[in-house]
Amino acid sequence: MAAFVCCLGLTVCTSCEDTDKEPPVNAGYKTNIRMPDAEDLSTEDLELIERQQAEYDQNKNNI
Amino acid sequence: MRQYILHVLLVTLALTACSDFLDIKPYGKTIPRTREEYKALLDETLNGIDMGSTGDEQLLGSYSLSASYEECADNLETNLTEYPSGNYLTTYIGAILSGRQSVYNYLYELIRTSNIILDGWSPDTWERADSDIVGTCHAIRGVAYYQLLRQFCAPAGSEDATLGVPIVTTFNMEAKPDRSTYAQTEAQAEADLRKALSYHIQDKMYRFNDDVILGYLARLYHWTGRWQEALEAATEVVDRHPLLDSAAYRTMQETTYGLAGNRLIMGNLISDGGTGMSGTQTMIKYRPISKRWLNLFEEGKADVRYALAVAKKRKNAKIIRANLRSAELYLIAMECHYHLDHTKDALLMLNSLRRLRCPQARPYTPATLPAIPDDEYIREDATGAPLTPMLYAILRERRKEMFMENGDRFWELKRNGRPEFWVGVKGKKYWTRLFMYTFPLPVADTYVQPSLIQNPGYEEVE
Repeated sequence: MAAFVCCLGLTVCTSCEDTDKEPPVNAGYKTNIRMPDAEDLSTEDLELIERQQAEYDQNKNNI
Repeated sequence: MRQYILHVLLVTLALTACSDFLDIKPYGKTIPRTREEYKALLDETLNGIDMGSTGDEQLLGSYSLSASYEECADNLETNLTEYPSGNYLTTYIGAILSGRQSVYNYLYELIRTSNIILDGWSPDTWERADSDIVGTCHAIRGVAYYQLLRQFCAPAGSEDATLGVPIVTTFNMEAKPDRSTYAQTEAQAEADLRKALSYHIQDKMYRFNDDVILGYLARLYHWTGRWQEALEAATEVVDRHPLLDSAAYRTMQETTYGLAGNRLIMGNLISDGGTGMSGTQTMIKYRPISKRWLNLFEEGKADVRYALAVAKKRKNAKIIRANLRSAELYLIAMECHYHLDHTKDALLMLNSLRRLRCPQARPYTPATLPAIPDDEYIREDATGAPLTPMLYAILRERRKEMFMENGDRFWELKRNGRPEFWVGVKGKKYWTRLFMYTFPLPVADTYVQPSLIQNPGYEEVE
């Protein structure tokens, strides 16, 4: 019995030796911030990007 | 009976000995106690800053941070990103905002290190070297508060620029201060930098000499719209470190590491020996330079900055970096002259800089200043006033000069009206919204301390 209690004591007490342990601040909490959902590109948006792409393709080698 | 008493004693021993694990104060770290230990702690921090190590890089910046913010601004054309290689580039600021929570923690870790040393430093055996160490701690803390103000608070002059960040000036892990006012955070950054300046740091190892600290004071005053003080601090440094001519400028910009030319301080001062830098340079080529940025150059390739930055297919060729150099302070002084109604001085400085970068550049007069193009995102200045051609010309010169340095354009967008704009990525439209220019405080901190006020726009967590 005495040996059992001693083992228990030694086992539990190793917690204070655990130097890498951080306080349980984040345990169980959500911390990822949600951003607004992306929208679909409109026809006008797509046309603008196409114009940018066409201008780029036409002039990219004239640098 | 003796056996019973023995059992009771053992059980008592087992239960009482374990209370140490409830004591969270040490947090598993050893707190330094001796002069050598304090010095070692500071040396480790400075080494991390020099190497651009995770966490420490937040103080001065790093090439990877500069690239990240550049990707969120409009000098590159996100709409033309090449995929799949471009998948690794940041889409827009919203994509990295949640991760900014750790930046807040990293900056407070740097403040904690400074506080530990400043709290424990004994003046009993004061030596010359001690002035350098204490001065450096004040410099680090001052720059950290400047960074917190810039990133986690609204821009000065805006209606929502009321809240600062918690002020912590001693080492106490149980303290949970609420957010200070904007003015108090600004005052803390200024007081630390002024205190650091009073020590006149001599040893080059400590990086923060008088010119560096004055440079950061100029940045702080410029950020907060204190034009006269920014002008004085910037001018003092520029007088000692004049602008370089075109050839010397090119040499400086082509030198990857070290304080070449009139560079005063930089993140990644020395190579970390890895492939991070070359990888970042390669990756950013998958997003072409925007037509808007190219259009800033009336003289095209004749301007050394264009020649250094633009490679075939409009890919970036300039070395990405985080640094403080004389030309930034020159530009700060130029803008200060404008806001102080010294228009002639501002114009004189503007033309001097343009001539140094491009000998063929024709001097501007008030009548020949470039018109503000329709596709310029900045439409108002740091005071909320409409952008004038004169200020546009100054900001335009800054945009050319600081391309791929410090993510400068993103911070300029924040300082000058926080414009909202969108980018298209794989059929979707991502908006940079006004609130996104002010980063979120760590959500975990708001759980632990409900009185800590989160910035607007970050209510939804998952």
